[in-house]
Amino acid sequence: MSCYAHGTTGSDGGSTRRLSRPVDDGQFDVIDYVVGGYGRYTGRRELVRETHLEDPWRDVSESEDSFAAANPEITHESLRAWFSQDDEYLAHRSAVTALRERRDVYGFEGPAMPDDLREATLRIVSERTPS
Amino acid sequence: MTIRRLTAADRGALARFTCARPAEPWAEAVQETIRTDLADQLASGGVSAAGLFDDSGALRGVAAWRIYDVAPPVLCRGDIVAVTVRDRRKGYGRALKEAMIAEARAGGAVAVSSVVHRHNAAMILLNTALGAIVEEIPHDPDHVRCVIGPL
Repeated sequence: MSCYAHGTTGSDGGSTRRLSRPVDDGQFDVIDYVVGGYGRYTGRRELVRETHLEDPWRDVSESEDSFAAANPEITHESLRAWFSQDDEYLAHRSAVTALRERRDVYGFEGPAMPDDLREATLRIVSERTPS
Repeated sequence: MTIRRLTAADRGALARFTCARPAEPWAEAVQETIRTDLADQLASGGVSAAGLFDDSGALRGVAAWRIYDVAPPVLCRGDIVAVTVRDRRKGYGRALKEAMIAEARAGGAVAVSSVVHRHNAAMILLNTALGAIVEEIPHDPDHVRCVIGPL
């Protein structure tokens, strides 16, 4: 897909078209992200207003090149740069990193049954075992 | 759909496994664990795992666990239950957890215990549906423990 100041096209250069082939998990993840972040906006007004406040669109629409080209391309690099500094994304990555530091929960490190988990398990099993 | 044991030979499929969603950091942490740690753990024999595969052979879900038999009684630590984003709410997580419980029971375990992120409502609900007791963990504000047992 290519992105332009005045809209997007599929890889065949067409405009809106129905996706007729299966998407892989990575592509599905991107679609899920886009729907989660932008799905609440109506297309004609809110989505246009929101995306036109973002750097990738502003950079091409307000640059001198925009006067030379009728519909300048928004590059993948500018999109990547924008979304990699997104506040929600950065907060998410920070939370993931913090969780991954818990290697006993997210990394199989340490004993399978640390003392507190073993004691709690034995207590619960004992309480639920008919006498 | 079929469920079979995973081995280190499944490293490629594990490295591509995707269960993360933007608003769920715990799911991405689990995804990174599956992608970067699980195959090595399977190779070393420290962890057991099962995968749920679709008819084309694609990996759609993962469960990983460890049998604790250092001291009696035998117990089981349920480390991971994860399904791909597109396969949520299809019962695949439950199928994997039940497979884990069956393996634990076959291994002589009297309980399956898991540490679950407290905002992972789907996993807490699944554990509860399978009879788990869910408890706070002192000094760990991010997680709860889920204990299914006696098996």
